[in-house]
Amino acid sequence: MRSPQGTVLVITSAADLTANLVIEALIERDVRVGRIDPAEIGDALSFGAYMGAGREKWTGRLRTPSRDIELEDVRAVYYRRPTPFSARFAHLPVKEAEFAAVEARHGLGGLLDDLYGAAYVNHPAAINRADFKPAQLRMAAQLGLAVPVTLITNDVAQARKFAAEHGPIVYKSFRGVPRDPADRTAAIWTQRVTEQELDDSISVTAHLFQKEVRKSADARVTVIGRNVFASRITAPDDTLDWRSGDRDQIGYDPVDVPASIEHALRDYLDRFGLVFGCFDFVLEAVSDQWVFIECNPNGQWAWLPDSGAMAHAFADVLVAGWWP
Amino acid sequence: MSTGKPMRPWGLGRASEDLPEVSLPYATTRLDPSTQLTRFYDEEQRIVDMSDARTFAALTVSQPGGSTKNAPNTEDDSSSDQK
Repeated sequence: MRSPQGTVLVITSAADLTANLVIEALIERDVRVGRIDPAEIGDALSFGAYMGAGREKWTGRLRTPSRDIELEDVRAVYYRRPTPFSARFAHLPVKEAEFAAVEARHGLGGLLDDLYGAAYVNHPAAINRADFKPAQLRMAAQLGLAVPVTLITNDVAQARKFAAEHGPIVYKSFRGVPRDPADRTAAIWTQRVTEQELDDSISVTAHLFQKEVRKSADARVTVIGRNVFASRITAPDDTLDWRSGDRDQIGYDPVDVPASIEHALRDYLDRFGLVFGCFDFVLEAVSDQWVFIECNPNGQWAWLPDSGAMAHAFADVLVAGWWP
Repeated sequence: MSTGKPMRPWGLGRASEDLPEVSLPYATTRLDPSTQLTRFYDEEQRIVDMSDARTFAALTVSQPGGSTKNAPNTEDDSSSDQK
C-alpha cells in the first residue's frame, strides 16, 4: 500500500528499546515514521523552519541521515526519552555548552513542541506539568481518589508531629539520587521511618512523608488513549517498595479496575492534557480500597506483561483521526 | 541565611548502597535507515536479540533515581528533569 500523506515523528534517544515496539506497531499499519534525537543536532540532524509571508505555522524540513521530513507532514509526535541537550554539548567549555544547549532547547526543542495540528503522545509541556507529586496528589484528591495522608515539609517539628499522629509513616524522595561523576547511582526506596530518626537536616530541602498504607498488593494501571491495562503486582513478604527486591519474585496478575477509578483516571489525564499515563496504586489490605500513589506521565511500560498490546494502543492513538 | 555548618539533606541519608551495574547486552546501536528501528550489536558487530522479556525488564523497569543505562540521561522513571 502506498503511504498517504503524514508522518509520525518519534522523538527519543538512539538506544531507546521501548520506542522500537511502537515503531514496529506503526510499521504494521504502513505508517511513515521518522525517528530523531534532537540532541543529535549538528551533522546528523539539521533543520530549517520558516514563518511569515502569510504562513500561520512553521514550514521547513528536518533532515537526518535517513529521513527528510517536512514539518507540515508531521501529524503525530511520540515523545519518549530524548537525550538532554546538555549531554550533547558536555565536551564544550561551560559557557559554550550552556549557550549551545539553551539555544538548541529553545530553537529546535521549541519548534518540535509547536508542530501545529500534530497530536502529541504526550506533549512535553503536559508531561512537565503533571510530573510533580504535589500536583498529582491534589488532582487525584479532587477527582475523588483516595490518597495517603501526606506531609511535604522542611520543618522537623511538623515531620515529628506527623510521625507521632500518623505512624507508621514512610519517606519517599521526589526524584531520587543524582548520578555521581563515576556514573554510580543509588536508590531511595520507599521506606518506613520513625519519629526518632527525623532530625534538623530535614530543613535543608523538601521531604515527603506519608502515612503507611497497609497493603495486600500494588497495582499499575497504564492508560493509553481509550485503552486501560492493569496489573496487580505482588512482592514476597512485606516489601514496601516492590522495585527494591528480586525481580524474579514479583508476580503480575491481571486485575479489573473499578469503574469509578477508571473514570477518575480518564478525567485525570484530560485535566492535565495527557493521553497516556502510568498510575501506581496500592490496594489496601483490609478494605481492598484503591489508594492513589502517583502518575508518571512519561513512565516505562515495556516491562509489563501487556507490552505488545500497549505498543499497538500507542500506534492507534498516534494515527487516530488522520490515518485511514 | 544560615551560617552554620552545611548539612547533608536528610533524605539523601536514606539512600541505598550504590546499585549494581546493569551490564548492557549490547555494545553499540545503529538506526536502521528504512524502518527507523534501532538495532543493537555486540562487540563483534553481531545483532543482539533484544526481544527477551528479561532484557526488557532489566532495561526498562521503573527505578527511583536510578534508571538503567538504557536511558542514561534520565534521572529516573520520569523526564521532566531533562534539559
